[in-house]
Amino acid sequence: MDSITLVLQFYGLGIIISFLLAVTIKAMLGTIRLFSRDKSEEVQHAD
Amino acid sequence: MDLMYLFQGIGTFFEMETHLAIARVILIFLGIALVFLGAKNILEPLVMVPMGFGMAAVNAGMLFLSDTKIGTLVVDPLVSDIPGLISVLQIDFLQPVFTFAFSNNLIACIVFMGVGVLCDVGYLLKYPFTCMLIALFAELGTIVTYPIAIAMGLPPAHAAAAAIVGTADGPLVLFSSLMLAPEIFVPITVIAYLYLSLTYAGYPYIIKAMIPKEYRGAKIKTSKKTVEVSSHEKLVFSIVGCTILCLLLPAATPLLLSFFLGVAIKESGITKYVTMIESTFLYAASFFLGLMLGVLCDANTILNPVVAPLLFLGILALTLSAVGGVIGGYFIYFISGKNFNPTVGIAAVSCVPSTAKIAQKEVSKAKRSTIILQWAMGANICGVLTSAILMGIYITVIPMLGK
Repeated sequence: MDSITLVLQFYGLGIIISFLLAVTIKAMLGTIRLFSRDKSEEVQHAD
Repeated sequence: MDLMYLFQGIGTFFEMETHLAIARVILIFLGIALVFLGAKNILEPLVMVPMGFGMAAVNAGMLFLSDTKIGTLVVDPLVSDIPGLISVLQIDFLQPVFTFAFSNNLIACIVFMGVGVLCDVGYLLKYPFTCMLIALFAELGTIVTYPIAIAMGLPPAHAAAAAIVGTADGPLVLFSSLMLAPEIFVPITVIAYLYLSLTYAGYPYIIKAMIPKEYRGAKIKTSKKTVEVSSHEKLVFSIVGCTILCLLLPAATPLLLSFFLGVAIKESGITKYVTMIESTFLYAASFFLGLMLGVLCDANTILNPVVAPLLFLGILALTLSAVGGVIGGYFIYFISGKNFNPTVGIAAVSCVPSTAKIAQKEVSKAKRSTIILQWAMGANICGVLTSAILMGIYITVIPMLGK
């Protein structure tokens, strides 16, 4: 029984870390694209 | 002159216990069989040919090292004292490879770096939640095998090492067994690599048994609005992802560093490094990995009583992971309004890129025009990441249980 509880904890931790990574990916891509859009808008205004 | 000492390879058969002598003969023939099966592409040739050769040679080439000791002039994995090690390093020709590249996981890390260079993380970055979700389902074997192994009477470290076979990733199995249970790392890694070679043969049957033909041929419609992920974004992900995961799981740092460094080198466009890792390091590491596993397969190691349960647990872990992956594929199929192909799920069982190729092959058989390879590779790479995460958790927590 202990071993089942233990692996469920491992799995829970695995899910949390995996989704943390997925959220980081989304946030990172969003930030990079936001900044690159700002830059391209600045270039257009300058033109 | 005593013929037993003139032909020591044969003479040692009569000086050792009967069951060990029989096991030696079996291993010689098994080695020869692995070379042929590898050469015919039935098993993975890159690992199996050197492994089979090493296995046959090491079991044939035993000699009397002293009046009481029988061994080989190839490698001695059990030597632990410094003077003994220095002496063996000067005699056994593969001892330097074992001591300086194998037992410290260097070879496993180089193979993982090669995997990083071969991977394209584009689909993972486009659809991170979908890929992660399937990959988590495909860890079923890694999770379920542990309590089964404990119930079978294995100590926690052995049970964890057996469960990690479910990650279906050779370097991960090697790394974790060396960290958790170095005394059984040879049988467990050999079993893992043998079974991983068999995934080519077994997984298509699991796909056919669990997924009807109309589901297997289903096309995945993607939105035209989706923006392609640039190399710059992939590069940023490699360094950010590596830093976060190393921060959370320091015990898995060598593997995570190697994998993400491979990704970063590919995305940086440093073609000379890419060629060096892809064409030289990866092949050299695979060659020495196979050869070392082969020469470590002597009769004493394989007749360890722990091997029998490992044979069962290894196949159980890999089968459960494949079943979990397909269940994950179905889960995404239903939550995405039937706009998904459940076969992608099997690719989430890591084993880059074999499982992705198997998935595409079975889909093509069902419907020639359906292409799911990019999805399968995304799930495949996520499988590597979730496997590394779970392995990191196992190797961090399990050693604490005894304290």
